[in-house]
Amino acid sequence: MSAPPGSDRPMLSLLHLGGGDCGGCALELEAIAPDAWETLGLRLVAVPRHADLLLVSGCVTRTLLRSVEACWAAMAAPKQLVAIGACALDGGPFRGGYAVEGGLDGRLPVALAISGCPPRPALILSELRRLLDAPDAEAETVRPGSTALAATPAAAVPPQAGPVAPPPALLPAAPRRPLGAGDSSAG
Amino acid sequence: MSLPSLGGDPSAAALIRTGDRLPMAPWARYRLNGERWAELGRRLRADVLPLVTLWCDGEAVHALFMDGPDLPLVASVAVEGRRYLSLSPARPAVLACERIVRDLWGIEAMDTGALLPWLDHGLWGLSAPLSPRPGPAPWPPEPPEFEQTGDEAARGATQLGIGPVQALVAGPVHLRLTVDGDRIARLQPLLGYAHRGIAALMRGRQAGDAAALAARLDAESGVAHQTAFARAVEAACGWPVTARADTLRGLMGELERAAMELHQLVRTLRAAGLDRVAGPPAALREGLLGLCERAFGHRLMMDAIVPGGLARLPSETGLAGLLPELERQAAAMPSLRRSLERKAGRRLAGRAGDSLERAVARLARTERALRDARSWLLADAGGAVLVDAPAQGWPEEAVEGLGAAASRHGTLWHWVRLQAGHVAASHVHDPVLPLWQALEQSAVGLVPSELPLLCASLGLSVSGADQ
Repeated sequence: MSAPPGSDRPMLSLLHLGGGDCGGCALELEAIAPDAWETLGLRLVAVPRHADLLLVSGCVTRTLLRSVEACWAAMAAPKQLVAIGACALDGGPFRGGYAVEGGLDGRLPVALAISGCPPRPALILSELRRLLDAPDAEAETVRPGSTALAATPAAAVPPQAGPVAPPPALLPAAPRRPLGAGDSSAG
Repeated sequence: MSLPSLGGDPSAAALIRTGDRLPMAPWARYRLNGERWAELGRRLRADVLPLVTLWCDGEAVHALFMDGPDLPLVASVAVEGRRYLSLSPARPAVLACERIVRDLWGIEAMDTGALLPWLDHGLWGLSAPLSPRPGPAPWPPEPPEFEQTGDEAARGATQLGIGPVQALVAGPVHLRLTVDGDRIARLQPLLGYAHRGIAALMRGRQAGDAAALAARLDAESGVAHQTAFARAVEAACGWPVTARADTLRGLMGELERAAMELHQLVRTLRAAGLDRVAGPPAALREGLLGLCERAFGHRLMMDAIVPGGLARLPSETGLAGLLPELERQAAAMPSLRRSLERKAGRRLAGRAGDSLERAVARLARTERALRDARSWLLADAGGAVLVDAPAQGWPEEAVEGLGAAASRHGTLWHWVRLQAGHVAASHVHDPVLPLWQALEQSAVGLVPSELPLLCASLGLSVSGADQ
């Protein structure tokens, strides 16, 4: 693995998963120049199998829930999950809708939540730097001061294969269908 | 067949105007009986009257036509037995709208092909969520269906699925490609993953609060959505806005369009592997977003526009900084175009349709938006930006309004029905929705590796289409 300039940390790969939102967080992520990612020691990838970090923006819609879980399950450990914006953490302004399951909080182990609607690119970069610079042992529980998140137990991570326990639902639980041939996110 | 009572004018628009005139503001809405709606469907086969969008409020189906560049014309028909007569045989572009009406209301269009789901993947835990009595969820949920002709199968064409987590478009979408040899024979997008049910979330909310949801329909045209929603509410309530609020909405709209056109150009260049060439337009866009933040308090200008005007006064120092920067950026466009043609011409020309042509057209639109923004800015004469909503008062009775605003893909429409200031029903038409149908056509004949460039250069957005 190559190292980012001026650092002994190996380059890490980052996958962005856009959920149900206005697309504002995705716009701010795209506003970050390629060389700024490189300076941070990150490269963007398109496939979960190649990713060390999963950046989720937008709320977890009921239609997308299985893909989010499959995407996280397909990533090899060690891996970290970052929630960008209010929607990704708890559903934000879309919480409570029939189509919205909620956010990542309490569902998957969020290592870092970057608040804002949407957060500025500079904040995204500085918070990610904070996460990457944290010692490994603490990395899973890194929280920004503004968002007091209860640490999600590692046991909440769904197993690599087999059925996923249904998370608490706002409406009667949606039925699950077997993985469709189209879900490339399942790896 | 013609109806004897309709008079001499055979046009579809004249037929609509024979209906009962209903008090929608600022343009009237016409209610047709079933017989005249059926005649409308027949006349549309020979008439060119453009149909923009079609929606439902549970009791009636409404169709928005354009009878001239600035003259919307809305026709409505009552829903009987959860059915209405389809208009998509004459206007295939509204097929997506008819599929959405079925998904959200359980109300079916008659006399058209099979209405496959558009938004509903069977995972909401209920069906027909906007209907007063939503139905049960299908069990088991039906897997999405993708068409494949016997001919394609016989030639050994293979189907390839991409997404919903993918890097082609920001936002979740599944693309099903039918690849015949080394070319795409068919592309079928499956949307709905980003559907948040905004119409249901808006329902029952005070119109001023619902503006925050309108701002979050699609960040790529957030100002346009906020403006169109505010205009619909203001029209319904008969509220005036100050000249300054109107001018500043125009300014914000052009700033948003200039920034988004530059961003689409950056996306296209990055998709072509030209990160270095993308640097200057990305820097110009960052400059614009910084100006927006200093003048209006938010880079993407969210929560800036409310029914009645603007949420707050702009910063005068922020506004003062805009003029020289707008002029500097407009002056930089010709050299940006020359450098684009020199450095990116070979990689873009003739690829994914013609990406170079689309990129150059984007620069021309950016330049126009920058100049229009400057004109709005010079027209700003100062003064108040908000006519206080409570002071104007919400009408107690049910009122309806239609509002429009220019977005980067064309005119965007919001329709609202208010009851005592609360949203009773609403509909949003984002012109990005028909763009997904355009993708189906533009992708045919390309090699799959050109798809990222095509998606970037069309400027597709999931949020505005899924809502």
